[in-house]
Amino acid sequence: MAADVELERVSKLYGPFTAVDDVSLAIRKGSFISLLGPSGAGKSTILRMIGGFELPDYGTVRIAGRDVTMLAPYRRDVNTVFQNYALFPHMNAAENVAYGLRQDGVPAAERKKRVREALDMVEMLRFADRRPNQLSGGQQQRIALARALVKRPSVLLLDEPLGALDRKLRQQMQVELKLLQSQLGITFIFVTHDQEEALAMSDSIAVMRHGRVEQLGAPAELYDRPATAFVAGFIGTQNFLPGYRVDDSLLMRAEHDAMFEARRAARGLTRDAHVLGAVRPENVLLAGEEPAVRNRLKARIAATVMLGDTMEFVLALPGGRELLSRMPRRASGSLPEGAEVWAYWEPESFNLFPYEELEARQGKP
Amino acid sequence: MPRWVMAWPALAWWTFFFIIPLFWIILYSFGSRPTAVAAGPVALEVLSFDNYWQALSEIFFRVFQITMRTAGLGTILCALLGFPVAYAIAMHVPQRWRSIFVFLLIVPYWTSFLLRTFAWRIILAPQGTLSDILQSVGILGRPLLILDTNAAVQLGIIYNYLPVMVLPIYVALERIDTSLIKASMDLGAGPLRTFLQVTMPLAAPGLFGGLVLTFILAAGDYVVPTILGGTKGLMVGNLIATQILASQNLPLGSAMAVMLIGLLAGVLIVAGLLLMTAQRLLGLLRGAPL
Amino acid sequence: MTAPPKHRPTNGGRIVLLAWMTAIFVFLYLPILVIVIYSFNGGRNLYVWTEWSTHWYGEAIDNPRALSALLVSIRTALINAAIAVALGVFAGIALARRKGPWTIPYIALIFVILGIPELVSAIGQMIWFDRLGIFDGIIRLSIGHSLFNVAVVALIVRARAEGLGESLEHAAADLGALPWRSFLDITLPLMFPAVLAGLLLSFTFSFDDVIISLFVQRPGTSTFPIYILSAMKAGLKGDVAALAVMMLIVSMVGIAIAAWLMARGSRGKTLGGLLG
Repeated sequence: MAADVELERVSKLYGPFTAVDDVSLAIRKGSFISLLGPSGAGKSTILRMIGGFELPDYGTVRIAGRDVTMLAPYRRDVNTVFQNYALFPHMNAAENVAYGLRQDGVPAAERKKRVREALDMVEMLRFADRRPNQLSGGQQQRIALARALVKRPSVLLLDEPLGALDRKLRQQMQVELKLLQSQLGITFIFVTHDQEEALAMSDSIAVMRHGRVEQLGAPAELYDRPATAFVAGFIGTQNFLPGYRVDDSLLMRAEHDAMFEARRAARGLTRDAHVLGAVRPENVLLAGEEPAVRNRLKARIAATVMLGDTMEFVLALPGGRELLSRMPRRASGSLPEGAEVWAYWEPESFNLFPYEELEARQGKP
Repeated sequence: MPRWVMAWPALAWWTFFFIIPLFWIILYSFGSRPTAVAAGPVALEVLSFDNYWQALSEIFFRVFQITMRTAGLGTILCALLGFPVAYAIAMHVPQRWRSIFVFLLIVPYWTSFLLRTFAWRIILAPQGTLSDILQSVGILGRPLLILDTNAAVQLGIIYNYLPVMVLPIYVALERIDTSLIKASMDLGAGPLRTFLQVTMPLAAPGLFGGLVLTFILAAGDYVVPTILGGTKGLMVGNLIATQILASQNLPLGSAMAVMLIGLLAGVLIVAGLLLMTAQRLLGLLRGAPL
Repeated sequence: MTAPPKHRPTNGGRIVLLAWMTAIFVFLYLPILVIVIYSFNGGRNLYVWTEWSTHWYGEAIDNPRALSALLVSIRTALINAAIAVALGVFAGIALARRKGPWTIPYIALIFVILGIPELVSAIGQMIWFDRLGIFDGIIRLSIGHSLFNVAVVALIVRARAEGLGESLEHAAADLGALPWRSFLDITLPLMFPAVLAGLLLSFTFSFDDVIISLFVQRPGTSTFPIYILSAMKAGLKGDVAALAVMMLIVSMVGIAIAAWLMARGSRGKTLGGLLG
């Protein structure tokens, strides 16, 4: 496995604030990796250090085995699609795309040919003469992509490139980017705060928080086996129930002495630890009669939310907590608001994590 | 090569032609008038405070007082006249028209100072139209006689520096999120309370900037008193210019200039300290439980 | 289809405020209007309106001293503007792109230059030029005017560069442009509106200047405003008003274009920074 981009114990400090904290990361050649995290997690800083726009305070950055830590951006074999595209406003689309080739001294004839190819690849040949301000956001995005790819870099850095597009266009561009990446075989490093986007496109995702990589893995792995409560909550939706571990078993004692059973406990979980038990809404099932499983709770349906093909139930638990349950709409039957039900789930879909205060994306207390 | 090398040429230019000359003024202010013409403009063999003592003589002291009064009163009147204007532009003029109004505010300030001041001589002339109107309406029993007095200088100062006052206040007001004001009203505060408790504290830095700027520019003015003040409406600026250009007394003029700068710097420092104290007091008041 | 009438709460305070604002704007523009009107006064006494006439303009143009002063002013303003742009553009870009511990004292110096009473600066320059033995009137005037205007250009260019952000230069570097190429291809062209605005403002400020000129001028190189000032002291006549109006037109055109250029670049934010 040849690592194309390698970060070794890289740190970056802005005064007292540690933007990137001792991060090591090896990115396989030709892979599509996303750096995912809330704003301020350090993902853009990492991208900028690979691009050469920030110099790390500690650690080494290697591209194709070569140490480029202190190298200027114009000496690196990487190209970037910037957050707001950063198209040169005083040049038309074709001139924008040609700019990088001009810097490399590519002869005029070949330059012309490659610019055409690049514009054709992103289906923007018709707009070659347009200035950026005459193009829509999606079109600017394509020009920015062509401008970066025309130089045939070994690594393409994408800094939240879809952030400014509307939902429909974003989903379309996700597919196109993924296709393009597999055709060209270039390493894509993609920064985003949108977990759906990361799940849809990536071979692997590095979830970041407070300047550190919290977990690195394939999308399914992160979704099914999150390493921490933060990752569990950040990727997809999650119900969290606080409680205490019973000895070093997979049992958890929750509020009102309810006992829940899990199949998996996060690594490093101590005996009798304060824990968060997590179950995803789609794994929370509803029944009218008391089910014969251990993980069950009596609840009242506080609200129903129609999400298109799925139905979401907001369940009020005794004590004031809420629990979410989702199921396909046709399976949801007739469960009116206010009805008393039993919520239950399998131990297979229940994970225990060390307790932590989570700000966003968790079942409300 | 240091990263800021691009900023060096300008710095060199300013150092050579701006900073060095300031030191010459200070040096000259300790010199004396040469006894022989051939000896150059200023005798620097013996340095003394004589010029400063002379500057503190009665006439200069009086003119200094008048200058501070004219500039101070002008500044306060500019604030009173100007604040509502800044407020109206920031709060009651639609967004797309605002920059046009700001532009209209700046144009007079940037066009010839001389000319705008000169225009007041036409307006205020005893034989002029305004004078005629005021007499025929019966407000005045005799021709308008305010040219070449302190009153005319005061008017000219207010007129010339009004934009300097309005603009910083406008910039501060424009930055206020109007939802704050709505929120305050929503929470039951009346318009007056909202203005005093929400708008004013947020506009205070702009108002402060306007006050300081207007005062400094007005106190150092030369053109307005020269054109509108005649011999009665003197300000420090004229006095200094007269010493240097007419009386050829460069040392005395320099000493006066140094004193003017010192005084303005003093005003600036006092104003800054006042602002800091006020902010601290305000912070204490806000932090206090009600 | 016509839109239904927009509801807007009519309140007394709003009307009073807008009326006040209008009154102040009238106050600001009235003198300018008056001088323009009176420059067409046919009477011998400027203050007493008699009839419409353009004869003062004829006399103003026929006045060789006024014309030579005008020529001095234009030459001074041009040289001054060239200096201001040459030095100010680089200072402005450095202020926006090469921030460091040097920035705060540097900006403080700029504000001292813009805020110091012009009179003081003028006296210092007069002394220094005499000491240095620079006796060419135009050179003295150009240098004298340029000190303020270098600061003006630096601030305008800085505002524009800050407004644009650094991402375009980063993009150029990312595409392999060496720093000097990026500067020539990207930075300078994008600064163009600010540079032009700075050029026009420098020209106008120099063209309107009285105080510096009064002190640093040499016999034979009076600027146009100085000529007007001395003519005014000798007794106001219509030709002075006519000359003043011509001067007004020059500066208004310059300012209008400059303001338009700056508004395009940074949405009027620079305007505020320039008054001081």
